[in-house]
Amino acid sequence: MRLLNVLSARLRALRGREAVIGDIDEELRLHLEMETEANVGRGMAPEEARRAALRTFGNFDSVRERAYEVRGGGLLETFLQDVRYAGRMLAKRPGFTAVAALTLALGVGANTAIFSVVEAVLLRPLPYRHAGRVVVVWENNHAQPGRHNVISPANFLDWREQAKSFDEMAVFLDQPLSLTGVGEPEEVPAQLVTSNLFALLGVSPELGRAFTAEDAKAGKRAVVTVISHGLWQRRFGGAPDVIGRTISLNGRPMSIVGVMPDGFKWFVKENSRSSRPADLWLPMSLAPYSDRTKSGRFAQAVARLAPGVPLDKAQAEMATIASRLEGQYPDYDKGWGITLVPLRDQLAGEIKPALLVLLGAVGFVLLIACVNVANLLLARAAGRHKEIAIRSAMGAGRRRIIRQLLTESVLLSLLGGTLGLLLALWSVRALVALSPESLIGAGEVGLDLPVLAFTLAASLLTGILFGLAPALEASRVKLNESLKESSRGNAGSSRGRRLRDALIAAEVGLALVLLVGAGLMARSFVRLQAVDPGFDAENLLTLRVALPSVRYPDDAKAGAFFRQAVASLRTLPGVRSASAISELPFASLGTATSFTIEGRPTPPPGEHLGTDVRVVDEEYFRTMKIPLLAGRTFTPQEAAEDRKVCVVNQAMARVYFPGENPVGKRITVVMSDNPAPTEIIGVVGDARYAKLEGDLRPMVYWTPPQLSYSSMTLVLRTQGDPEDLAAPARRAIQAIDKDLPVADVRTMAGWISESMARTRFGTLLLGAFALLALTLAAVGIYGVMSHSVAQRQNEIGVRMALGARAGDVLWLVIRQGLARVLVGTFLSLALLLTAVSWIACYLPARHAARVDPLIAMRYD
Amino acid sequence: MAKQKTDQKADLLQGTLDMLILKAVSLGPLHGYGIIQRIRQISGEMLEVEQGSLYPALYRIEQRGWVSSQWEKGETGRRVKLYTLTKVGRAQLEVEEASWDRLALAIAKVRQAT
Repeated sequence: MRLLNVLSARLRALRGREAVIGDIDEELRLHLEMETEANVGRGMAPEEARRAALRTFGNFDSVRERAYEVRGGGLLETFLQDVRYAGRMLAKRPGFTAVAALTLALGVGANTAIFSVVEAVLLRPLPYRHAGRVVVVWENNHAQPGRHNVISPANFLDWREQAKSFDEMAVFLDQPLSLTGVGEPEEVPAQLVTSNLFALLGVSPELGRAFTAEDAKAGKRAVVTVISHGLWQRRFGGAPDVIGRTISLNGRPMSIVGVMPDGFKWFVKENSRSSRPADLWLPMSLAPYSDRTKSGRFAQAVARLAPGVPLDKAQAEMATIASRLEGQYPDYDKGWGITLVPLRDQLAGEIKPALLVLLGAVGFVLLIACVNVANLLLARAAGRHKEIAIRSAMGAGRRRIIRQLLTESVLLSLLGGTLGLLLALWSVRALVALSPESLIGAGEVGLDLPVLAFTLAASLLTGILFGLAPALEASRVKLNESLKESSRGNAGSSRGRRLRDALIAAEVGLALVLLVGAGLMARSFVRLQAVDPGFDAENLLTLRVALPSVRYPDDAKAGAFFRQAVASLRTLPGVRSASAISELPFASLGTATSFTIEGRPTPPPGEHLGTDVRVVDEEYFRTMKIPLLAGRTFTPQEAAEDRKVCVVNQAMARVYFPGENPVGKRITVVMSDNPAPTEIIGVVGDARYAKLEGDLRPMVYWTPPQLSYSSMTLVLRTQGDPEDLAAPARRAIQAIDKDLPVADVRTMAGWISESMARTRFGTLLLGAFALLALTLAAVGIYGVMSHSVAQRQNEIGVRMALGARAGDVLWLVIRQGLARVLVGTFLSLALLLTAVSWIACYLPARHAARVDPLIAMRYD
Repeated sequence: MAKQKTDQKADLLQGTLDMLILKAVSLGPLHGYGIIQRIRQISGEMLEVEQGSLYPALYRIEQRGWVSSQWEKGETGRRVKLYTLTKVGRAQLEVEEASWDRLALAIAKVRQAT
């Protein structure tokens, strides 16, 4: 209360010095009037009475001044004085101010840029209602702990039936569709969703309606679709009468019933079949998938916890349900559990650790900038002894002087912060442009209010951080000494020098830590780049074609189309070879399933043999330059007719046929209701399909007649630059069918490079920060050394006069600088080693702490 | 603080001015001039607050929240600034009166000892 009074009085005083003085004047005049009237009442003449009143009052001006001081001259006034003074001091040394402000700007700017990404990805509230209660639901195979698997809709139906922890559960499935009927044919990312998905997320369409239960019941016969705001703008020019229009999706007419609002996006990248968020939605019915063995696991699921239900309780309930299903359907569900992942963790998942590392790295850069400026201030404080001594001689207390110096450093840091903000403005744009699109979505990252608040806080904190030590040091003045001291020969107190030495050591240490981090990152990137993908990625052009089921209703028609397409592409000038594959390496998720080997016992439920499956034509291995190791590859006849033969990769031979020749063996790959055995006719080299790192997985190659895909990727090996063939290849496809969208026309090298984009981006950023840190550290060392040399001019002069040669002096100074740097290097190495060994101990320890006692005892 | 008007009037001890002002406004809202008048009146014309000291002291007391002020139309129809004792001020007045009493008692004891 009292504080409030004082504060409001001060604020009032600050707001209007004039107003306060007016108020005081009026009150004092009133007082004089009353006194004058009283005097008149006592019988004086008016003029006489007024003079007497003034006399009794004393010195009017001085009273007024004292009164004003009480009411106005307080903390805030002295603060403003300090600010004005600090501003003058900074302006007086433009060189120092510019160097310090720029140093800080680099630090604050880098931090603001990274923080703006952190804010957008990790901190900003998710745009869904009750987003905190939304969880993504995965199945997980106990044989592969920690890996999230797509779910079986049949299992989902049981969960929904039995689980009580959720008030809503929905299934969704990304699937590209070809859009025709408006302008150019185009492949658009679409999503099949159960009708309650939008309600679960709490987002309603901005136009029209969402799906109803009726829409979902119609399932595959549904004729309605909801489109995104983006698609509405792009393909329909934002026409208000878009509702009710008909578009053709995969050759089927669909009526638009709703448009989702701008910014709405629902995309769980992990295990998605698409790399982009959906642009349109179709209703999905789960009824056709109720036979679990037939339909398999392929969809994604999301649920919203009922109010007040904690995550672990829901997780426990799902575990119970999962084990019940294991008992009920051992063939299918044995060994499978359910994992709930909070939406925020799911969406931030992969990028979170990387971002935190980067945030740590820029934090280091800011620390180095702080150290630099602190050093500059310390050096300058030595030169300001006199000024400070005079101030304190005139009655300024130590607190007052510290406050003054801190005001100066905070003003400096705010200046640096403002410059840093400009720097961040520019670098955020560069960051978004450089980053892989999957990492930072354009338009999501920007300098909004939380980011500005962060910058302000960082600047203020920085100002206090780098200002405090120099201020404490400088205010420790011994009056007599300082005033007596002449301007020359003052080498600064040994305390100040030691502090500066320590700061230099710290700076070098920090920069080194960053350099080591960047070096490690760069090494893993280089190693990744050196990985052989198992095929020759140069001079390969790829394009994907998806056939609408309406016009290509059966496998024969689809097969005929792709044979014709490949044949036509082979005739293009500049094409050495062309072929087709169901799922291109590094471009999409692949198909995986279980299989059995003839002549061996069927493994117990939950312990199936697993393999990836790709469908290719007879030219594929030649086009990709995947070497044949044993047996032979497909003949054109085998590619055209269902001859029940397959080619496997080396990993398959190594894992399942160790010490045997797999050629001639028969395996049964489960891809249909009645899988038939196929004969292995050849073994080819291992090729990487999903990632460059990690284990190679067993693979079975089939030909199209055995398993038909309506969407294939065509691969061309070209003589020259593959990009040159993009347009001719597209024309060749559309010459066969002009309504087919041709998607993802790009080079294989481009696909691989994109798969490394994150590592490259991280390496680039970390490298940039390390470089920045190193530069700042070098500038810092330079500043301190040149200052110390300047201060030791006398001493050096004496040494020279006594016969020291230039080389001796050089060595003297260098030795001193190097000693500090070495201390920093040593300290940071010690720190790094400690950190690394701590992690090395911590991880196994954590693992040990997590061991289930039951399992541990069973090992004995 | 206060000046000696005549020989019969008492000196004002340091720090007593605050207490006198609080006491004066405790009897009802007053303007600055009125405070001086009331102190003179209740002290039986013994205490005269120096006019120039009053206002800085008054402003300080106001900032401490012991009194609050407001410009109002006075009896004669002219705008006057009236000071009113606050709750905090009343408590403060009691504190100061008690400490004054202790001091007076102590001084009396010292005097009787001679």
